[in-house]
Amino acid sequence: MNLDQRARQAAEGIKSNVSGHPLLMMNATPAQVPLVSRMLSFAGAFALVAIVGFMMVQTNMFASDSDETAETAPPTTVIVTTTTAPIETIAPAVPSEGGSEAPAEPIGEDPVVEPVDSIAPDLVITAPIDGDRLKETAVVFAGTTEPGATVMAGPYQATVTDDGSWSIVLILGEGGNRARFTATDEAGNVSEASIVVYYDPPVTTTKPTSEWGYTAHATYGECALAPPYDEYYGTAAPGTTILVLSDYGSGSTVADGDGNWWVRVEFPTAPTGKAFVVKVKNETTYEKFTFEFVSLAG
Amino acid sequence: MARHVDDMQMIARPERFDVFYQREFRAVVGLAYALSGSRLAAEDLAQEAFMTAHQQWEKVRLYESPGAWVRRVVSNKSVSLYRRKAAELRALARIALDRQVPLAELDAEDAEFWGEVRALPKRQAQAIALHYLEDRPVAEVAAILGCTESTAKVHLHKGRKNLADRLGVTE
Repeated sequence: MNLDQRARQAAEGIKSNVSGHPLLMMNATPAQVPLVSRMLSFAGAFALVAIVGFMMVQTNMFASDSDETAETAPPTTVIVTTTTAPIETIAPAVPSEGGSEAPAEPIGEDPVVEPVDSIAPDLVITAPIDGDRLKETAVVFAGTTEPGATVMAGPYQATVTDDGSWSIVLILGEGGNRARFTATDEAGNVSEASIVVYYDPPVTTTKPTSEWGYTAHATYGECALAPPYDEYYGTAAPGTTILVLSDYGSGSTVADGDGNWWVRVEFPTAPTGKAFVVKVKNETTYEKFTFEFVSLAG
Repeated sequence: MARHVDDMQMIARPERFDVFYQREFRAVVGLAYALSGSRLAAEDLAQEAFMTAHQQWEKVRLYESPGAWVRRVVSNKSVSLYRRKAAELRALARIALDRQVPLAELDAEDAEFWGEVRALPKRQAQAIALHYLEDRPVAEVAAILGCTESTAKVHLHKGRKNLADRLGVTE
């Protein structure tokens, strides 16, 4: 067996392995694949393991409930419930084997009881609003909690900043979607909050020409290749002719049916190291954008 | 100059992120699996790459190939030891919660092949994985790796030669 044959076989091994694996699907339908912001640190990962006991009470946080469709289910208000961890008593340190440094337990005195945080962390969902009807499937859920707390959306961990702001991106299924979150503070107290939001797939409509904004962007602004070139792109009303004009090269394109356009323009006679002006003009509205370009070709 | 090695052309028909995600995710996990060698970390590495794509979707969706872009991200993350370890820890945490099962083990022969690929210099390993796992022609390998076609050809050529030597097979 030569290298190519061996490689094809090994590639098939990976492909068949991945294709049969359920990949981060929280629900059955492909439209409900959640995408989760989980840039966890090492410490975060270990903390996640540590709070396994609390997480066991979690079930799927994100469900496109068939009985909570836009037609039948009223928006649900944010529900925040709290549970309180048992108060712990921290006992004095036990003398170590050497016995010389560890403080001995005071005789005849109550054990030292350190104050224990028994207050569940605040957990507020600030966006989206409960009952919101959304046009995008990928939605940023955001809110606030106690600094240092961990916020989970089912099995997935949200990003929490130092000030307690948290966010996570999830993909909605069509119709009603209940999003449940929990916050667990460092003492193990847990809060829960949930909202229901609706995803309404966009209805394709054609914008009037006047609503298409004209935008233009240059991709590079410089080029060391020969011939030097740049790529320009943007939006304009479908069918609009876009002209790219300069002293050293020009081009044109037409905006497509979605109102997007792109064109590559070469500047074969451009002087090396000298910037020059490139104008990108909308032939319908006569609006234009001006860019600089410099050839670095040797 | 430098930005040309990151050449990502624009297209006129951007697509929705969820459509892109559902179409590409598994293939990207496969790439992460091949390059990281970690059945635990592969999904997390892919998820991170897609998360980055989502955060920049307004820009990324205009690229000629958002799929190439996300593969570049995941291939770079996958060959980074730190990233791989972090992803493994996250995956272990989820497995501890009984929320995820890792990818299955490869059979011994395939595992040996990908192990030898990972032993190659990073760019050679990335080029080989993209070429064989995804049937990418040199031009696409170059676009994904952010290098010129001639550079990608060199990576592929050297990678193939080294790999053949390591596996004791002919090119």
